[in-house]
Amino acid sequence: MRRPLAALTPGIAARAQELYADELDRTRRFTDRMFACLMVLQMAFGIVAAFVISPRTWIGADSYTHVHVWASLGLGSLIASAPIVMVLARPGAASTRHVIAVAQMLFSALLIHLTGGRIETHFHVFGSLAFLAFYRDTRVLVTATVIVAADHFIRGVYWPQSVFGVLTTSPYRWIEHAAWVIFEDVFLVISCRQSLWQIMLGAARTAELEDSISGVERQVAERTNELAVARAQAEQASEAKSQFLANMSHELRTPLTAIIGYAETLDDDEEHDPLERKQALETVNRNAKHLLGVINDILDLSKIESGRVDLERIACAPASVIEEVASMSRPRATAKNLEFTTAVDYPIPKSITSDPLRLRQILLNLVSNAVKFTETGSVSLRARFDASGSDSGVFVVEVRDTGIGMSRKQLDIVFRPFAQADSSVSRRFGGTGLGLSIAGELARLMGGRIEAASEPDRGSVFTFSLDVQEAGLEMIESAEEVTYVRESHKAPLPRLDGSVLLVEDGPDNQRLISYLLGRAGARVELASNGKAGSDLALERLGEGRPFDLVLMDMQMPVLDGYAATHRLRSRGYKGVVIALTAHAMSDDRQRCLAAGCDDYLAKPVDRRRLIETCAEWLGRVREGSPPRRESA
Amino acid sequence: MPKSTPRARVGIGLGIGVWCSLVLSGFLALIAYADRPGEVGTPPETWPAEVSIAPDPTAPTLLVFLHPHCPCSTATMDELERLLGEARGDVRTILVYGRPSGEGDAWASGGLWERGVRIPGATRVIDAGGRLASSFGATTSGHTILYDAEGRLVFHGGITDSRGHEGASYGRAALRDAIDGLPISTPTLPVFGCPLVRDGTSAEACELCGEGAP
Repeated sequence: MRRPLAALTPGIAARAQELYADELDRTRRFTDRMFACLMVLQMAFGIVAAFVISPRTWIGADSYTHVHVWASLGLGSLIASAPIVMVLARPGAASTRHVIAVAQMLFSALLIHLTGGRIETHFHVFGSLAFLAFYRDTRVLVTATVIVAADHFIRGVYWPQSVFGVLTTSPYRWIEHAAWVIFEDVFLVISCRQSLWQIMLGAARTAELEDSISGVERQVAERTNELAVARAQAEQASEAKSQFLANMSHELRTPLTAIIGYAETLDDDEEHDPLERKQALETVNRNAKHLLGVINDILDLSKIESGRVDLERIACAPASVIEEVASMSRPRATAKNLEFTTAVDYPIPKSITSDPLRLRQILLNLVSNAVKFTETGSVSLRARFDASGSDSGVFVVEVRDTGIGMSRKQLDIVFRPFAQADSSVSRRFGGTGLGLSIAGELARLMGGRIEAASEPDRGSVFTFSLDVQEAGLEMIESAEEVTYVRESHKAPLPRLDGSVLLVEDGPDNQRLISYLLGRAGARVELASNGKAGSDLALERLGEGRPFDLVLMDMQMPVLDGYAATHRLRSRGYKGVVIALTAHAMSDDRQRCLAAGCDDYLAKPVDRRRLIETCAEWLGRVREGSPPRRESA
Repeated sequence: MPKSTPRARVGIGLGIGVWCSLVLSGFLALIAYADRPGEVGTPPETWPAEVSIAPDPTAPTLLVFLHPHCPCSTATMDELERLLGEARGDVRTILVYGRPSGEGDAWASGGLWERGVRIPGATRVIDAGGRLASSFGATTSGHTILYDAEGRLVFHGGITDSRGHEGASYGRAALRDAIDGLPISTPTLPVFGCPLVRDGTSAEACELCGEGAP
């Protein structure tokens, strides 16, 4: 009976066994009830038969209730009583089945006896055995058979008239009767076993089906849950993006309002006071730079999300970076009347290998954030190095403020893109909500992390940690040992000496860039598209008076900058070509270099960077054949 | 199915044992009852002269004494019909149905009276007060008595082997042989049936009566 379970897993096999036992128990209880009814029916039949056939007996002229009536009432009830009690008290129990088997065979014996051993009444035995086979318990058949055989043996030998209807018979006739019973038993046993096999097979299939359904239901529940989570996330993201777009609109419109408003004011026909004019220009400049910052944030996030952030691994001095961040942030803090302090807990490494620009961006974002959300009190920047060995440790920068702080819930989402603490924060303080997200992602990409702790209305602490592990870490013990790399934007702009071809389709940019280069000393010629530009460059080359430098806009009509540069290079042009493009999304720099450009400048044009880059390349040209730059 | 406690198992075993004993006792009592014959009287060796009916001088005369309402004598009637069908010799059969003196003949009508019609060549007579039965010494329903043509007693007894049980029996075989004129080894056999109606005979007064019919 174990074979149907052989191919099942233990869990399913156990469940199949359980179902098998349940089904058998249900079948046996049902059969118990059927037999209980049969017992009552047989008893009632006996009583009715006694009343009909021989209700009374006679002694001369007097009549009395026949003994058979009393026998049917007494003995019939007695035989039926035990199985009925067992069915009521112990339904489904093996003992109940065996008592029923005994009682049923006793009813057969009684019937055979009362009919004087009529052979037809022996069929009651066969019918009863078939009914007992409903139990699917071959042991019950054994019990019944033993009772039948014993009854036939005892009565056949001592009272043959009672069982065979004859006065004399062979003492072995009971064996023949028992053999016929066994003959039937053989088929009933086979039937029982087949039935048990079918029940077990059904149980195994049901168990497998249940397991399968359970698996499917579990999967459906999991998927439903995942979908619900995904939907919630999507809705949250959608809401965040909607909020972001609203903020962006505000962030873009605000500086644009100032830029356009002041530009229109300066463009009217009225005479302007020089001080007013200077203030207006400063406002335009400041708002334009703010606008550029917003756009740069979006581009940074886009690069991070698309996994296209290229990090440099060059030597960088942590103390210098701290000093730069402090010097860049101090004016804003001071403007808000905030106390701004910087401290470095020496010793710290003199130099670590990292991306100094991104490191500065992270720290600037943290400090800017602190200044932004602090109305009164202070903002402090503190750095230290937690050494864990001679060649390793953690560079830690802590930015602490006494600002509005955040709740636990707000802390949970503070590093999510497009998410500020809440929309009221956006309205009150402005910003896109991208700064911390960008800082967090950049820190992660650099192998570091940012942790935040905050209390509402008491302030926040953002801690940037960067794991450092490199051989030969040189430590500095005090501020005196720090060599600051000062930005050179206060130095005078270099002078340009050379000819420059500006290939640019935008009239405004043509005017602006020509003006800037011309003021710096360059001789500038213009071309309005890539074909005209490349033709002019090749023509001058053919004439033996090539341009010293070509500034090539990359997106132009007729022939764009990529194709024009490729055309130049394919025709043997060796001169310097610097890409000038507003494409600052992802790998445009690499695309430009791959097209044959020597360098790359992003729009909007930074005057100092433009002049310095051109000066550098013109200097190389003067020194001889300039090597192709691999990076700028 | 919850497991029973050892105590419960003992209780169940004892209960089943008592039940089996009672059922067995009941069966034994029933079998014993079925095998207990009625009182067998002794008929006269020759046909009594005082009775109103005379023997057939050409053939044996078979007298069958019956209680008209005795259920076990149905088997006697069936066996008698079977026997007469099997016997080769001629026989005059008289079915004697007893009735109390105070009752009319209608008292004797019923199953066995009607059943007598089917016995081939049988004559049915009513024995008021059981006088014929007394004359022939019959006390139990189903008592058969065979006299030869000369009026000599040949056989008497029952032709069933237990109460109301049909089937081959020593009595039937012996009576058939006697009718056929063959020698018989057991001229007297027990009779299974109700006590016959005889004046002055009641349950209390009848010392010879067997118990009721099957």
